[in-house]
Amino acid sequence: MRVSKSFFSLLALIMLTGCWDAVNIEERGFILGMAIDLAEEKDANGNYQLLLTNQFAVPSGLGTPSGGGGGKGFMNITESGYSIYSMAQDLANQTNKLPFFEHLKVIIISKEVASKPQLFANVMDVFIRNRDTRRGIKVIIAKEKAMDLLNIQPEIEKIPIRFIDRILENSLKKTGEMKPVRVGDIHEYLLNKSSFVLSEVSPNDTKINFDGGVVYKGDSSKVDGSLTLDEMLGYELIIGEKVRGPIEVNYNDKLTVYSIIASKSKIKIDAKEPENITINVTIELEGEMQETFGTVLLQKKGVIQEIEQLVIKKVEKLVKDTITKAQEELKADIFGFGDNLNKFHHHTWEKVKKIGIEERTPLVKLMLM
Amino acid sequence: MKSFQYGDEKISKNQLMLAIPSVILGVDILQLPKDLAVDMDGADGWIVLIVGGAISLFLVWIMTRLALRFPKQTFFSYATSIVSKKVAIVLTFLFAVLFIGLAAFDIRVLGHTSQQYLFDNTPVEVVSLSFLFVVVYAISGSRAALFRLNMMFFPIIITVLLFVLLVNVKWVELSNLMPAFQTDVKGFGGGLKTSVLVYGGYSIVLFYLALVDQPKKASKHMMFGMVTPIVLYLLVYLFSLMIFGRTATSHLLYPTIDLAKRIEIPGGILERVEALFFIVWTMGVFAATIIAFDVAILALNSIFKRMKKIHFVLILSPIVYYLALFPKDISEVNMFGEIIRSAMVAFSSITVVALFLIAKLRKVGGNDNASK
Amino acid sequence: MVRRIFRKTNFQHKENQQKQNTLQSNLDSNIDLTLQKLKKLLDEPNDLVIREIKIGKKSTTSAIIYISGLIDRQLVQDSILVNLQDITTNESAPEENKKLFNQIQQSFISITAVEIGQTMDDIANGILAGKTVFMLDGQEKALLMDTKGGESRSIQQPISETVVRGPRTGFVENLGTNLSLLRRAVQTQDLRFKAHQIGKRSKRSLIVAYVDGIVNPTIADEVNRRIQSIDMDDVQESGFIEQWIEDSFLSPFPQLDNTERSDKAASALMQGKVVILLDGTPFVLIAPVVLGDILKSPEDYYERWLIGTFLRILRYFAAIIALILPALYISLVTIHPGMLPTDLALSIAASREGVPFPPVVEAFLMVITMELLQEAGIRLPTPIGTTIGIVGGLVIGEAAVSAGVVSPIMVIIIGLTAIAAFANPTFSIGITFRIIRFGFMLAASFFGLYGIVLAYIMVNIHLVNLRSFGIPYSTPFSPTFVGDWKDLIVRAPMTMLTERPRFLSPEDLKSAKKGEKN
Repeated sequence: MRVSKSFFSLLALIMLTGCWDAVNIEERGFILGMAIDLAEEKDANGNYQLLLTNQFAVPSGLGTPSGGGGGKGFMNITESGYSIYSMAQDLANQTNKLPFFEHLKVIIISKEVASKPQLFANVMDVFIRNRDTRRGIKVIIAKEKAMDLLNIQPEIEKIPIRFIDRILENSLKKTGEMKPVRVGDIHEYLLNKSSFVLSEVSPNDTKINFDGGVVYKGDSSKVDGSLTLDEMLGYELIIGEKVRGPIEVNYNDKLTVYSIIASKSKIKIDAKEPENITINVTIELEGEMQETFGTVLLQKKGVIQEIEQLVIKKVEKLVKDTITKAQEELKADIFGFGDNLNKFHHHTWEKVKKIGIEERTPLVKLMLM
Repeated sequence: MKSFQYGDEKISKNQLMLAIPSVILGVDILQLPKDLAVDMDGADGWIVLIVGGAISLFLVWIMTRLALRFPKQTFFSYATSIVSKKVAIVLTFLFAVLFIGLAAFDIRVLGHTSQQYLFDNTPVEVVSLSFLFVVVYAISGSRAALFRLNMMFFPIIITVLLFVLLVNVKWVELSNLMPAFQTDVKGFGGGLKTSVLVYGGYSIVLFYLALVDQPKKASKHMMFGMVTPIVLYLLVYLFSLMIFGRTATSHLLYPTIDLAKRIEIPGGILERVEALFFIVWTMGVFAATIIAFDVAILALNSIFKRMKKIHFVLILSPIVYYLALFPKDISEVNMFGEIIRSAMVAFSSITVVALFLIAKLRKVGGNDNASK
Repeated sequence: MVRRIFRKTNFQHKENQQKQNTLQSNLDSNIDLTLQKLKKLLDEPNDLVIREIKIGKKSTTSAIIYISGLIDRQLVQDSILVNLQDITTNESAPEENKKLFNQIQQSFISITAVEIGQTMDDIANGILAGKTVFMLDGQEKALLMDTKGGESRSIQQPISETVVRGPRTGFVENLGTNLSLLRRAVQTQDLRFKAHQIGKRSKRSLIVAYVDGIVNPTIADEVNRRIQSIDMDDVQESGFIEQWIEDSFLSPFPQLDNTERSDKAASALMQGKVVILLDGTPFVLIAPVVLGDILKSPEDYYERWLIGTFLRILRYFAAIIALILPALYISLVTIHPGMLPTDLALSIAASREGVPFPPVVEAFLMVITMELLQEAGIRLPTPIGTTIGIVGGLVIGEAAVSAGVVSPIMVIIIGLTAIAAFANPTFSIGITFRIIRFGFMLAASFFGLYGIVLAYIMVNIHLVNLRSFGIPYSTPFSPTFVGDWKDLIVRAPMTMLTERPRFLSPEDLKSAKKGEKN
């Protein structure tokens, strides 16, 4: 008897207080994208005031497969404040739904925010730390105002951020033009204080434009400098990202398009003398001729080799330009040479750490397959 | 040919063999890579993992030898015949206390991780309490059933763990294992301490070997049971390093779960796989907890012979619950865990070696002549 | 082990006492007296036929007694009555009573099974069991001739377990027929039928069948011991026996399998299990049964091994769906929507827009509705039952969705669950799943996935503590018998299935020579 009584009182306890985390799915506000802008310069306390724009999905607006569903598929809510977390919490007062961050896909940060020292790392911190957000969230940099990107009106997609996410996803998997960086990677970069490249985009009415990359410098903790589209390609080739894309060369004054199917790079550091470190970058490309303007007989002996030579030259130039820019203009080790040195030549790394790897001249050797 | 006897409550060698990794892996595997990465440079942790494993293997071997000198006797009874009854009572009691502490620690870490990966608002008290209820339900059944239960869960846990590692293979960067052999002596010291401690828990051998049928041949099984966690620890540690790199690993709270976090199921039928991994891991923590709890009861039962098992369960459960909720935050939980594990390893190794030597010197135990 | 409540009636009625005495008394040599006693004992029922015949040269009084509905009229006519009347004209018939009685027993009666009854009890029970009794004046014994007949169902395909491929014979209500079916399926001289009479008031025969030399004697003895302990007035169906001899009455899991199929019973016998047959029911019991057995169907062995394996895996999958799908829905939708793919989460959210109940209530509502439909469908006559299924499933489902009471996705979930619950070979395990499902749903509504895993652990704890005739229910998963895994989730090719289940520890393990195919 006593057992059953205590059991029922326990059951009652659970029943009355239970389901702490239960929220009906339709009562949650799914936040798919966030844009972070700068509202004001540093205030007296040394804090920046930020503008956080959240894009909520409106499920009823998306419609079900059977009934079309009208209305807008999304809702943007902007909030200003000093910390991301407090702004996100304030959101709850502005909608009838409970903000839910687990489906956050893309974070857009304006270049202005990223160029302030330390601010980028501070902003990212909440996304790294919070358990609701995933490591796979993609981070891109907006050239101008980040929130404008949330207001583009794509033709086939109801939610702008989903449109952006799909493009980034596709470019990650297939074309490799835009390289969004994931929060998990940023976590590692920030911890290692290494430099890296983020994609830069700008809105264009119904589309987004890819403007190249911006360079985050690990030593100064801010975005400083940018890469053009060509330099991005060079950068990706060097670090051995999966690149697929066209390389245009002129063969006999006719435009010929060589498309990269697979690329591989190998970085080898020769650090016998710490004062004179040489870095060998071997890039292997595999590709095919896609388009030739004019009549080129590929079967003809030597034609392929000639075109290959042209491609090699072009790629070599791309890569060299990129390296020169990184070394001379940006002064940032965006290729992770330092990390490599640390791993394979630990002692040398300890010595040169202070000098900075950026000032060494790497010897670039190209191989094309 | 095996045959079932009615009311057979013996456990088999294989069952005990699997209980060892279960109780060792428990919650430790979740943060082991982090603990090692903090101290050790590159992938040097593998050295201390193997050294720590070897030490533990040696201790398990001594335990098995010790227990086999007194076949079918409980720890309490052979400790009595080696030293004195009073000392034996103290030793057994201390073991019971340590295992209660271990059970409490397991429960608390489970509660904490559930907050981390599953719940926002559900209080840790409720999560732990519900878990404890299920533990009590399991303990109230027969002892052989616990081992059967462990055998049901173990393959699932191992499969899921290996699956997580396998899926992560595509992110592996071998270069993350470098630089090799750059850790300084201090780092090695810290790493060795961590790695010896994570193997704590094998003392269950002392208590359960008395229940094994055909204990004579059990020695090999015990060693094999001890090798399993060494291999798994090595795999998990190396994979975490290869995937996250040392710096990130040392900053992640539970790198093993973060490995699961990386998984993206093709076709996207399910996201946040780490929650799934975590709930499977709940079974692992459960197996560790019931075994630790049961050893405590077994130890106490050998001292207080007249009390019924269910009474021990009813008395100990509130104590375990109280202990589990005693640490206030994660750093206190970690400290609690460290204390329990250090005490467990130190106490059990000293006790076992001492008992073994005394038994050898005094020539107590029947096996001396047989094992010349 | 077996629990039972002995309830001895303290008061003993005088009349009862008298009746008891009559039953135990031997037969009187005076036939009239005996007949009177018998009539009194049975209270002169309408269907009791007492045919007095004067036989022999001395015209000795004799009688054949039977109950009209229980015997084969033609048989009694041709094999008994005609022969008895023959005696009067037969010259060789002896004059002395005793010799005459013996002669009748040995030469005249052309019935296969004839016993001799000594007490009133024998006679009364014999008559009630469909035997015809012959009594001769002056003799203190009677002949009990097996003339059992009356209406009985012919052998048909079992309705409760249908297979596409395999024998179409199902057990019937007649024990003799059932035994003959078993004999035909298991043609070995080692097949043993151990007979029991059970029921204190209404006696029924029960047969414990096993194959000597295969079965583990411990199990056979245990089954016999438990059956002997049965102390009930009347055993109407094998379910009564199952509930009396099972190990734990608290468990939702069946600890004895039941089947209507003779081939399933026969294969169980050949594996080393024990089959219990009861007169009057087509359902026979198979003991012991363990977790690995409940999702096996005889058809797995008739089809080729790839198909068999596929079906097995499908069934395990179905079992998982039947158990946890609604619970999974509840936990994913209320507590962990982050685990759903974004698009699915959004479309569920859109479809739930305007549904007044939280998913937990919605799920319980629909599951209970489904249970009602199933129950209603079974009880009703087949044509109406089908209609109810369609009306309930389609109309209510559709109406509930368009009325906005439940979301369409919930209807899909429930439909899937219901189908999955029926995709298992035995009806009773389906009900077990349905019960446990509620537990999972409850746990999921409190703790989401964590609740589901706790519930799963609890089911496992229950399974490892449960036994079926001493064998742990979780066999052969744990305690592990790797040898038995060849016929568990995977059904290995026939040539590899050379051993009987090890967990039964049969006396003869090998069932085939290895690798001999042709």
